[in-house]
Amino acid sequence: MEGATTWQIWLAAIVTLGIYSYLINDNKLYRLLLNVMIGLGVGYNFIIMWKQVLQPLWWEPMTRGFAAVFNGFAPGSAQALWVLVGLLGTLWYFQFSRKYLWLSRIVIGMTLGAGAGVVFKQQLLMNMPQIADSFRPLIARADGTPLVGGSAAPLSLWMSLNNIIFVGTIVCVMVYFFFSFEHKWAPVRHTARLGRWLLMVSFGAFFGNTVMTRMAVFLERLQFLLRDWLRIG
Amino acid sequence: MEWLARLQSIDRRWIYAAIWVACALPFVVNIKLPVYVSPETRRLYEFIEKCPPDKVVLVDSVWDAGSQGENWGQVEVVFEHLFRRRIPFIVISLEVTPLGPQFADKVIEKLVREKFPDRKYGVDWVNLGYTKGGWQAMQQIAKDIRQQYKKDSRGYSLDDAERLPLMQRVRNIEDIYLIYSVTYSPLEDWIAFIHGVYGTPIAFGCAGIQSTTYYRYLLSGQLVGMLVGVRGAAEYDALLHPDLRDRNSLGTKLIVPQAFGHLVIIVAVILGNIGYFAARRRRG
Repeated sequence: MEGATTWQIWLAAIVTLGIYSYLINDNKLYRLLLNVMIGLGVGYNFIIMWKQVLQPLWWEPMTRGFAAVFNGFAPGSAQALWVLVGLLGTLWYFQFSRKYLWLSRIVIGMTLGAGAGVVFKQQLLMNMPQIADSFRPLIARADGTPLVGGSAAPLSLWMSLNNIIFVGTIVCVMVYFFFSFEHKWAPVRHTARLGRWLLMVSFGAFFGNTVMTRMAVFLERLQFLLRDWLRIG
Repeated sequence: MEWLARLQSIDRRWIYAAIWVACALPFVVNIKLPVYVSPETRRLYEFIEKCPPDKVVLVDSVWDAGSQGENWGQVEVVFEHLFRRRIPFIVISLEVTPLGPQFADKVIEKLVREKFPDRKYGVDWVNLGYTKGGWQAMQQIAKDIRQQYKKDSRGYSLDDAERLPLMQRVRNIEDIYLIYSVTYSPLEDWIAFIHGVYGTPIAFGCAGIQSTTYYRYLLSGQLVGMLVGVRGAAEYDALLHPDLRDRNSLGTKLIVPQAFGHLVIIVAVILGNIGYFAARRRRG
């Protein structure tokens, strides 16, 4: 903690140890600290949201717009229309009323419609290069181009092996997820089984990375406790 | 065999204690381990090395205490590289956590104080602060950054040429060389709506847990590079400082304790498996 005073370091250390006390057992200190953190987070989020997002991007243009309207429709009056966006946003809160619930459906419908359109575009832009990349030459040159019609780079066994594993994995996993018919025919059954094993390998990689991340979170706190608080090392 | 079978039911608190001791050891005793640089880290380093003088780098730094173990080191090394090459950069914090700007400021202040005292706010870097809006905000920034940000995080107008000279030559995505998004789980919308539409190169700094889903973007060229967890930060530090004695980023500090912690977990997994097979054998 750069530039922190002694009491701040002690407070941070006590809070850290209080949270870690959950490792021994659930206790009241842990739950108290958890609630304090949630409260702080919500309060801080609210203020930042207003000061850095809603105020500059919505409130200020809207109030400037109304000022222009009251000045005899001076230039910039159109910004008063931002009020409509605010009204639309408040429709969400009719979720809490049984009588006027239908009003919230207007804005939900708009959100769903816009969301569906955006997701369509997003998936296309994100996944089309992925699909294109999955078509790889099984006999490849060092720069990944195919043997026929590729660059002048030399033939690479390593790149070819890499591509064979890549394409083979895609095929095996896709066969595993092909549920339209029963996997009775031996080649399909074995390919699907290999696909399942390859998925297991990827889940293992996920789990290994999970451990790595959790460890990093812990190590940063351990470093603080040892170096900043106890001044060891 | 009875005692072997008991290995699969070791009280978890003993394992926690072993991890505490193993991880604390490298902080107390000075232990150094070599760092091997992975291709995804090297690609990002080399890409930044090629930045032309008239461009800026946009850093989307959106993390807080929850992921600073990994993300602090990832922004620290890239900021150091940008300061060293005198490449101007703009920090934004899009979605995820409103604490992002403060944490980015802490990293920059540390670097300026310790290594680059002549770098100036507004000239070498600008922090525009937190904003919301996901893909819409990304597209606003791409078309006209002033539509999304009226002021920086210190309250200066983006048109204030005296305080923010850097912002006078940044209008839209055309002025940005690279977008580097650092958070626990960077938004894939950067790839879809910015790289996909404008072709701007994107790089990620992410938590190790998320990296598995992002490697596919490296293979297809949608990402130019990626720093993965503490490892990525330590590798980048190794590229910045070939001499081990010059390295002092958080990534370098945490990589050895992490190796020790992983060792304990590997041993625990092996012991648990021995216990499992011993118990199965006993049952016949």
